[in-house]
Amino acid sequence: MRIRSLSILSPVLALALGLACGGGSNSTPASTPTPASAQALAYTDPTGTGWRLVKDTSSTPTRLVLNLVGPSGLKTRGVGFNLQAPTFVKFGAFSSGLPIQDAGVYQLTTVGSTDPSEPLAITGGVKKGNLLSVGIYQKDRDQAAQDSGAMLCQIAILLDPAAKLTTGTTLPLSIIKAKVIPVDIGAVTDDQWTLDKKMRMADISVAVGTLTAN
Amino acid sequence: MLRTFMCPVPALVFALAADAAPLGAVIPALTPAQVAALKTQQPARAAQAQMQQLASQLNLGPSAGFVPHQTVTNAQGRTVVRFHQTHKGHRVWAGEAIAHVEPDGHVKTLNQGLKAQVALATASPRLSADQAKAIALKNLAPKGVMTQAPKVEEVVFPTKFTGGLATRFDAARKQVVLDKELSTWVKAPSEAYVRAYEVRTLLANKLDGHKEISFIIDAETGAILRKWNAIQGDTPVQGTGSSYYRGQVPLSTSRAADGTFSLVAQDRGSQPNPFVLAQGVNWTGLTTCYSGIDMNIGDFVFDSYKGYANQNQWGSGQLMPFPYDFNYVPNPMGNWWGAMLLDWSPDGMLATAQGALGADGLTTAVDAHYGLSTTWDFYKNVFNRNGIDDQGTSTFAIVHKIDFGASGVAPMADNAFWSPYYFGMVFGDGTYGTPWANLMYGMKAITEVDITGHELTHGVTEYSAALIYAGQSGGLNEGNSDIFGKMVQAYADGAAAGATIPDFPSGDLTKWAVGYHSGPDAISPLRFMYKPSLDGASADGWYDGIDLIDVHYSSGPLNRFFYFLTSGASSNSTSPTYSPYYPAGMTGIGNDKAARIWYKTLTEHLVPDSDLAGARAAAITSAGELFGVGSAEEIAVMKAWSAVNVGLAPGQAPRVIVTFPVINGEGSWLDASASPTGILKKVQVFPTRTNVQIVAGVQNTTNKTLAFSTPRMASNGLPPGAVGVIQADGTWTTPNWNYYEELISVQATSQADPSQFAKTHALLMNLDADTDNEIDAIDLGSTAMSWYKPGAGFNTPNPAARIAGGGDWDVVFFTEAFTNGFPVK
Repeated sequence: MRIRSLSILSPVLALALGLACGGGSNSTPASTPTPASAQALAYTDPTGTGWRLVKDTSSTPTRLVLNLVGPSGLKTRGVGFNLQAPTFVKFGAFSSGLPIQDAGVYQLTTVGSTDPSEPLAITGGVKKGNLLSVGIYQKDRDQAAQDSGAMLCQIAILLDPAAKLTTGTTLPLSIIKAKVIPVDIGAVTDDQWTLDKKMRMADISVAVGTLTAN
Repeated sequence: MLRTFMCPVPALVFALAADAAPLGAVIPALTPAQVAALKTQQPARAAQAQMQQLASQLNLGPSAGFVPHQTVTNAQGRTVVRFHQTHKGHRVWAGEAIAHVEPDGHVKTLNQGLKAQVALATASPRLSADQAKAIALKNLAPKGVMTQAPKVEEVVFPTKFTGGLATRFDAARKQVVLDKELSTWVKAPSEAYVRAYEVRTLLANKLDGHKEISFIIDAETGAILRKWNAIQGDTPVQGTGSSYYRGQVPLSTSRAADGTFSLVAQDRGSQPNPFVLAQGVNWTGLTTCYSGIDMNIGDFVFDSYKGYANQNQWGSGQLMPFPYDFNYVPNPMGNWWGAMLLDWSPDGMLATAQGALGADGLTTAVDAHYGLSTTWDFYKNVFNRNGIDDQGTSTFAIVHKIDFGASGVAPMADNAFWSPYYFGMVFGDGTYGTPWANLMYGMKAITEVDITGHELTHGVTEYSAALIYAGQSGGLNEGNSDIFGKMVQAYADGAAAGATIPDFPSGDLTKWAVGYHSGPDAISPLRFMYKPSLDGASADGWYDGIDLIDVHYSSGPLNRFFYFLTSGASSNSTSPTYSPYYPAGMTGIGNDKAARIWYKTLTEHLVPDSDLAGARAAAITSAGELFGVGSAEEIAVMKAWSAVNVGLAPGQAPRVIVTFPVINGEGSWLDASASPTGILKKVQVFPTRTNVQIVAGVQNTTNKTLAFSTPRMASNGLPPGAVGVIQADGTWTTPNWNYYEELISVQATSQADPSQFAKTHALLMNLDADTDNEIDAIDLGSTAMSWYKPGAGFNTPNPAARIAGGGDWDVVFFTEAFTNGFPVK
């Protein structure tokens, strides 16, 4: 099954259609140079020491791998975010088939787990409008919260050759929603009122760098 | 695709002797003395030697071996030897070969059940048998004591049988629902075969009830690859009751030296029953018992009706009444209110169903004893089979089964089953007349003769084809029990003696209703063999997706095939015996011939993972062997299978076929490449309120148009259209839905031939765990926060976070629904 999504005309195709409609002639402007198609993705990391997406060294020209890093010293139990990208880039999957890769900081299994098939609270998908939604969480409250100042997870962005982006095109990325599980989520012995106040995810702001097609 | 064999060895039959008789030649019957003489020649030994020589020809490799586990010599003198396939000395799970040793010494082998190219990645198991047992017991989490120590066997496991989601029928809701207890979420290992342990457990106590859960534990990783309940049961059955239904019936009983009589048929079974022998008691013969509770330890117990009567007359002809007046004593013993339904021993340490030892209680024992004795005789006289395993091993029946539920003890149970552990059977009294009848099936005593025949036949199946109790093979297993249950009834309706099976009165369709007298009314038998769909759930013929329904419902095609074969099919489209798959109709060949064909099919050709197509091929072979290739009987078999949409009769054009691919297999933990085996391989988990698209394939027609529907069982309390509408192009906006356990049946029907359709299932999950009206991966954080360890007693303040009731099922279903709903393209 496939989810239908609107297709958006690439700038190159739109330009070609505009020329055909507006020219009123069957002739093709022979002297117009064809803009060079982008062959690589370039990414400039954001500044600051808060939550941010930074380029991973494993990136290739056509597959940009971004690491989610949080503030050093902040303890959390998991994080999720929604990343909006233009439709002429694609999100890549990792070997698990998911568009998110665990970096090993969060303890996804239960304490003392010996079950190799234990379900893990990590998922991701691409929603309508090219919205990447990913999350990775510790489900066992007996696992200690982890320092967020390290690579917590990865995502991947692919250059889509079919889009034929012109060199220098800026590809706006924005994280429109992001939350973490805080260190204090109450205890199983707490009363319901206390738990209701503490078992809530906390909003965070994630800085995103600049993505350009080159 | 109908066949589901993994890597079948190409040739079906190897004829070892150059002048072996061709398939289909009619083999004449021998005298019993000739058959006995053949048995003394130990044909199984010759077969085993030949099988080992065949290993290389079959491309099985030097590690392959064969261990005989069943040997039967039929009336024609053919000795059928069944072998477990082994690899380096360990049984290959569901690997089976059959050798036919003919009277002249020729050996033919049927190898369709063999598993080819068996290879293991490891030289030895990483886990010990004890570790595997510990994993199984941790998962089993018994509340009471184990009745016997678990049995552990190292096996080679074909990973195509790795489990998935299991279903059960919720009687109260009249709905097929997810069975989390028997479901597994592990992904199938990448290797085709792995080392594993089969762990078989038995629980029979008041806290756990009677369960025989078996596990396949990966010997490398410890993962639970498959899990099932070994009890092969019939859901409610009916009771007909001795003189209550059949007038005065003859009973084979025993007289002790003290002059008392017992319900023990000493002439039916010569070898001791293995279950009671393990407890130091020697029972031989067919023994009928009553159920009880040992209050010292809380276990189920049973004892025979031995030495119970001073006269050799049993029962009153009346079923024992439901004794309890709720208006009089509403809650006499705390929440264990059912205790009022029990009779207590003088010391209070033994409890039995109230009235079980009285005259009315004995009526049910008479029904069971008569039915099982007749079934034993049927197999002996008609097929020369010496009991369940053809070795004369003794069996027993327990009547007045006591159930335990969350709210107490319930002696009146809608249940009957064959227990492999017991090598025996258990029968309930039925809930008819009880206050909770409307929550169950409301059956009367579950000891009617076709039901007792049905249950004993489960034992015969276990000791012949051993059909896996799931998927199409499970439907064959159930249908096989229905078939021989009916044949026992026909045998009993006749003289209950002799070597032939009489026909039922022509046109009397009530004779082909399973448990006709056991239902709460005249229109509610268990199954309708002549038109299975009359029960609202069973299949009249094969369709893609039949593997996904309960085995009691997927028995439909075999049941209807057998009805057509015996009694014919109508050409009148308004008749309940009309088939759109064979509209011309056909003439039946009668009970006796049909039963012989099917018995030969079961005992000589079918293998544990046979499917409907395999059963068709085997039945045609059997008919050819009995009556000749091209005979009217063989043609009738082809027509009858055609009439249930399995294969074609001579001259028929190929039919339209509709199939579902695996819906959005991307990211699914369900194995998209494996064929369904009763565990739900094709079911997909989707988010609610999401646009998805259903796709189905159509073959053998240029008109590819389909109509989609979502048929669900009635009376589930939901309005029509509650799941939304699937458009003609397959697009579907999943509804807002909070019934995570309920399966949504999706059907695609060909518009070129509306008799052809396919079905699949969907589970819908409301993923909005943080209730912000947006479904995204951040919701999984709320679900993770609400996660709890089983038994921790954690009560989350946010019930919406528990999308599948809590625990790891929340995580599994969330991640599956999310990746299926929003795949990475």
